Amino acid sequence: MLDRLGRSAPYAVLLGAAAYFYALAERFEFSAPGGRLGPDAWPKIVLGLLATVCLYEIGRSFLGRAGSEVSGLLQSFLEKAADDAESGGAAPRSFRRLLAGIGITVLYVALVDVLGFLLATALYLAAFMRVGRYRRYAVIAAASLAGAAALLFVFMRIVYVSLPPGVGPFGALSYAVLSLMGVK
Amino acid sequence: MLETLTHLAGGFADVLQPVNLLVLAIGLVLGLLVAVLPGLTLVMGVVLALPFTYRMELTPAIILLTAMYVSGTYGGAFTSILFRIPGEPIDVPLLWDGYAMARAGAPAKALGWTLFGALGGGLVAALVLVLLSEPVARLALTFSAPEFLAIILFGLTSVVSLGGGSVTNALISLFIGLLIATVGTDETYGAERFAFGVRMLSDGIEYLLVMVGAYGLGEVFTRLEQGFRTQTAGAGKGAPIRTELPRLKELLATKATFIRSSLIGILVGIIPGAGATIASFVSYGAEGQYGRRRKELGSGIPEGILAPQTAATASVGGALIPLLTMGIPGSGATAIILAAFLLKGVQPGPQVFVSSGDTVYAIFASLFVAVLGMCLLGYFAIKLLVRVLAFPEAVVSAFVVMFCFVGAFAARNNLTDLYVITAFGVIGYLFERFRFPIAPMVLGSILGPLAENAFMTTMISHDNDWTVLFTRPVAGVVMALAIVALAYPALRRWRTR
Repeated sequence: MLDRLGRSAPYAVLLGAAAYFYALAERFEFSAPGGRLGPDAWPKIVLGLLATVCLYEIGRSFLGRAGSEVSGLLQSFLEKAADDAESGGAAPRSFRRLLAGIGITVLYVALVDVLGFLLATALYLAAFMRVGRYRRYAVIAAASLAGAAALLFVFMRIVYVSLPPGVGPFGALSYAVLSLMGVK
Repeated sequence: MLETLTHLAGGFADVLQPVNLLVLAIGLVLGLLVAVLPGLTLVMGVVLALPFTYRMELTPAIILLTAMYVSGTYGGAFTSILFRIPGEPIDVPLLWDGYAMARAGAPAKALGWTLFGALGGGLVAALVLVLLSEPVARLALTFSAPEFLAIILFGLTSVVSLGGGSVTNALISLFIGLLIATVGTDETYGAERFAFGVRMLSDGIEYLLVMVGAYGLGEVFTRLEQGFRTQTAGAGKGAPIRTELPRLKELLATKATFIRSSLIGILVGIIPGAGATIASFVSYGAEGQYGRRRKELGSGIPEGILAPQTAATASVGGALIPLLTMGIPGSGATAIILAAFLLKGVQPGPQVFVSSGDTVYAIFASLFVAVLGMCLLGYFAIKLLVRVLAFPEAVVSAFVVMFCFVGAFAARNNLTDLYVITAFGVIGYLFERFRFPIAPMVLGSILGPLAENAFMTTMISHDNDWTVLFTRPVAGVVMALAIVALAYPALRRWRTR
């Protein structure tokens, strides 16, 4: 029973979300000429279909037999490919590593405006490589510093993307490096 | 016909301009590298190249992306055959016969077959693209909203039924994509939808952000959780790496496979929603059903290499047909090419031959040149290309994240877009983790606005009568195909039980 509940849980969550968004669609503010469909029509159709599929899956979780899933055309090929790959063994997953990766990514997005692209990127690249289990620190240092500078040069000098310089001393550092690169 | 050839000659003259030729060569090398590296997919590669096109003229921008797209269908063959490392999902079928042939002592021959498949399939598809595009565009000019809606629905149902994994999960993914496309201010009534008062959401969610986040960051997060464990150690060392072309007699013996695979590749490419991966697998499957040596498939026969490679490269020409003639991108890579067109203020569609005819013929010509160039590079530079496997995946992935960020940021110079792609990166990871395919969500977010627009126009023009989708001849036929596409997996399962 617990297994069936677990299988149906993601669909139940999606069903709840569909119902919530449907209720939101009911409250869209607009004035459509008589007889015309409003901006709520399309989202409601999509939400209705989403809810139907979720209900089907929930029903299948409780009433269907195991393995009664309908698969796309590629599935049989993918199963064959997976069988072939099995000799290599499945890689162990590390949720902690994933969280660390997502964490530094969010931190980068939050800080890039303050630290500037150059510094934030160099730090991020180094941190990401380390989180990704790379241990050759000399390579990490060289790749992150040279990589950040190269990205800055390519995007600001060649592609003309205006990347954030940072504020205060970080901005001064960015401008100094940029002037060394010949970027005004 | 003569007119088409004259335009094509003009296209060749354009492509052979030094700048365009340089851009094409860069695109080919990048596409091959992206295909060789296991951590990077073809679509990701094309996404990452997009920001470099922002300052380019339209023609070189599209040439760059198209060259990457076409060579991305070929480069992964090297590592699949030589080291059993498929750089792309497209290359998985090459493991079965290509690697088997290599293991039997003929790696150079196996590489020769892929080269022939890519060359032949690419050139045939380019020719079909030239011959079909203008007539299809003329036909598309006669289409109204119901026909466009039916074609889009066919594309959406195809991506659901042709993919791997659960069809219901693919449907859910598709509906989520369609809903993402509804976020923001509605164009007709100016009503705000699902924006929760957040200004960033009022502007809508760009499909580019969905693609970059879900495909790019999502894949990186998934690989990060696995600790970047792709087995590349030792790759590129040992056996001599070279390509040996098949002899004419051998080629003639495989002509049925070649013709069948080229047609499958082009047709699958044309179907909106299906791409090179599906073409490659379907073609291999067809070889197993109808091939002269079907019983030997998997043991290292040339047909098992030729079929997937020919179809994969041929699908590029096919996928460009709906993009250029109807403005409907048939795959992730063509969606990026569409974005590049739109960024330059050009809307592909039936009128594109009138408004940007020169560019269109330059794209056609570039496909011929790209296929030839890609095979030359593959033949002469294979040793160098496979060396990139020695790059540590963690280092490559860190730079992939950076390219994703800069690409997303540069489109609108908006830092908040980085939060959006990070969120879609997490969603992409969760989809992967819980076995929801990403492609339907991405395609839903791309085709959603087109579908809604066609739906609303149909309803307004026909007094809310949805049966018009089935009573108009062209729309009716396409809707029937859409229903068959959706029902096919269930029917197949019912038959096998």
